[in-house]
Amino acid sequence: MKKLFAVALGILTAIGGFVDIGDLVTNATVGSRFGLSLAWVVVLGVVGIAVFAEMSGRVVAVSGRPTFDIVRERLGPRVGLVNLFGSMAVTLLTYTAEIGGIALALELGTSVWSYFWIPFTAAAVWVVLWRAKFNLLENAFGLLGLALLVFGVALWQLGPDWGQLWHTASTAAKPSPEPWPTYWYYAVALFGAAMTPYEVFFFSSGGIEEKWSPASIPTMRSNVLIGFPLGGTLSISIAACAAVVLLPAGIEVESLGQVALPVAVALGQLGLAVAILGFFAATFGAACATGLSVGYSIAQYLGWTWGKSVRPRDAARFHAVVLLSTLLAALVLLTTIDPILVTEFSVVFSAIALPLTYLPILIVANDPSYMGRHKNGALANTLGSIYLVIVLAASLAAIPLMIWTKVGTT
Amino acid sequence: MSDAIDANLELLDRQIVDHDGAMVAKVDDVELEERDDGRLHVTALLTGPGALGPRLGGAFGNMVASTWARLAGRTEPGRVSWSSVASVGIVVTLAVDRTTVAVDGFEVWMRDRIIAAIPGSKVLPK
Amino acid sequence: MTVRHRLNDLLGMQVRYADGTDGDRVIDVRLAPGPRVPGPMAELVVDGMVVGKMRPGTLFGYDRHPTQGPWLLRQVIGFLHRHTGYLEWADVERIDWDARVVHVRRTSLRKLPPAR
Repeated sequence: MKKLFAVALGILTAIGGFVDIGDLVTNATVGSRFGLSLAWVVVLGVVGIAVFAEMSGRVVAVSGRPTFDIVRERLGPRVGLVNLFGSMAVTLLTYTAEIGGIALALELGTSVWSYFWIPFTAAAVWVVLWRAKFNLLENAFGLLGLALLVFGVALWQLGPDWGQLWHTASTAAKPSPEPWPTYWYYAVALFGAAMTPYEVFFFSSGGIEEKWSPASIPTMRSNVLIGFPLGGTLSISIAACAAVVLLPAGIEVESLGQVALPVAVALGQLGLAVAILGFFAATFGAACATGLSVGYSIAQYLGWTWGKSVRPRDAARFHAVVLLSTLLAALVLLTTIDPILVTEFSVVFSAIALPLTYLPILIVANDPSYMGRHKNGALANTLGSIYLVIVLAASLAAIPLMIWTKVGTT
Repeated sequence: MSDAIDANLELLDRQIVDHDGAMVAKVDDVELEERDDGRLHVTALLTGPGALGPRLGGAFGNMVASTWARLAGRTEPGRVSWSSVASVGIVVTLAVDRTTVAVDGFEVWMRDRIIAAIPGSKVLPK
Repeated sequence: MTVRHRLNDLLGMQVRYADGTDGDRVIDVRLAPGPRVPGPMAELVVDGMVVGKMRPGTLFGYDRHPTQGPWLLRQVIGFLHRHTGYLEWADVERIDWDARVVHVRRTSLRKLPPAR
């Protein structure tokens, strides 16, 4: 019974944890401009992250080595350092966006200008990272994040033309006024939002925090294979709500309020309150995950002691990096930069960082001296190889598309 | 031949842990001693920016190594004698405690100067 | 007085064959247990070198574990490293640490023996 509860908890955590500020904003933006014609990208991204999360989870359960250990070992210190700089930059950018997202959620809930919330949210996140146990962190925010299921409820309540929704999703029918390059730019952005590198850093480091062993693999697999797809469904329901309410009205997503608007329309004040709770939980949880991941990546590259299972003074450099990152994120946000803009950049740059992160995982998952009998089977290898090509394509296309479409504004 | 190790693939850049499994450092480089028979023997593992810098190559790598040398007040990198090594596998396991090899000057500095000052640093997270 | 070197200095060194040709580099060094046992583990001694062109994929291990998957990567890496070979310590005439050149008695590489 206890085991069933643990599995359920893990799945719930994965769902709630799947949707961060990047997913919220990007899916709503895409829904408001492209309807569900980009839903296939979410599906593609969900399968991709599930494949690589399972692989990195299996690697850490069997060998005890988290992702960034492997990145340096397989790519060498020089290329590994390039990856480190890139990954840390993207994760730091994402961290900044998440803290901004918390402030935006609080603004939505209290009508107090988000700018004033920034120092408090940054400090709150840091205190949680300093003191809270890893398990508590994951479970609390994962469960609260389920409040975002209100988007599914809202969609039902809105009573849309389901046939038409299905049609645009399955045929990828791009609305005619939108240009093709912009369509592909948002495809890359959505893909980046679904497969952000910090997710595998966090997932595999979490495996060590929770002391996984080969016996943990089945539980880990059910978390991944059920949690991520359900999280993807959540993303699509956010896009669908935007498609049903914002697209016909021509409303563009420029604030978190617009993301929540369909829920307010369908379910009124109560629905809105639940959505805001969901935003808060999802962004706070993601802020914790990204903040820790900045520390994880550099600590694992340089061989430092890291993690939440030791006293802070025993992982001094790790906690110093987390503290410094939090300060930096707060300072960037205090320049009055729009957190939504930071989010938009973070998802695109995530797409760029993908290949160098996933290649070492794929290789080590095949290494018999690491994995023994748990090494990749044909399915994992086939999917892994296909996705390696896809992430490479997305990574190479990201910057040209960003320039060509002026960050998706054309 | 079955105990042969390919250094670049299986020794360099691996994590070094002590006999309790606690993190020590990475194998940033390996010390080779030329003996009378002309052969090269592995005598120690080298760690820290002093060892990693040259492996990063170029002007950047040199800058890393020289900056570290200035801050640490010496040019010899962190050194873990081969006599402390118990086994080499997915990680390099030492036979001793990490305080014996004492290669984590930066960690100690950070702990004593900054982290220890923040309340709650000695408490295990709850 | 014992002379100490770093492994990093040996890696990447040019290999000059007995006929004066070069173009290959040391991409890995094979270490085998030596006679001395200073601690729990026997001291490792340089037994030979893996030599080839410095191309990406040297740390992926495909040249060492010939059947490691996935298939696509193995094919790509195998192609990039098709000229990789091996030199035993006895094949080395001398190592010029300053010029970073390994002078070798042979004119070609040996076949690469798999790791295990």
